[in-house]
Amino acid sequence: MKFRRDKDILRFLGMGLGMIFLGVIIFLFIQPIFFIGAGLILGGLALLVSGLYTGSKPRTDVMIDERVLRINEKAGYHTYWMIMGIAGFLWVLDIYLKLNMNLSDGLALITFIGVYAFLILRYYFGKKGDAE
Amino acid sequence: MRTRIKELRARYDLTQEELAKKVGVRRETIVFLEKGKYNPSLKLAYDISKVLNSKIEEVFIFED
Repeated sequence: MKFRRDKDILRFLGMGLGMIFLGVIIFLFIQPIFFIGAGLILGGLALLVSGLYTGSKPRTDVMIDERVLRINEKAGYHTYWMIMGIAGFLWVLDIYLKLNMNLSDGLALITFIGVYAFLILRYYFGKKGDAE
Repeated sequence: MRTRIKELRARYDLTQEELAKKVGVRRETIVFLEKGKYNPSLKLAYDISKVLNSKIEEVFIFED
């Protein structure tokens, strides 16, 4: 496996290592804000892992090109109407069943469905292709 | 739609990765194009044809 060593990847890995280093120092030596150190360590690890993953793929495999943009647009469009449909359904439900719902009651559900619907649709459109 | 990208790519000894880099797209996009599972934009079709020294209609074949 060929690993990319261009400056984008090195900067990414450097940032991850820097965050871990800073996090360890804060965690060990500045007790009152140790949770910030823990957060930095976790964030640094996430950066490091994603940097290593991205570095193991050729540069053209991770760029955003017109096919990816089209997939995102299609997934976004379908997610939008899904969210509108659910919001409308909750609204009608609230009116007829007199649930006295607030906007914030349905917000978590709508956000959850929106995020996961977008990710699933992106995967689906990515696999399906768009040629007739 | 079918394409002759794979055949023409072999003629010019280009890998999917190299062709992708030359036209500025992901390698996966070239894979999808070769399988006939993606309709490219006119710009991408033009760029690919140019790299493969062919006319667009020689690279991308639309069947009735």
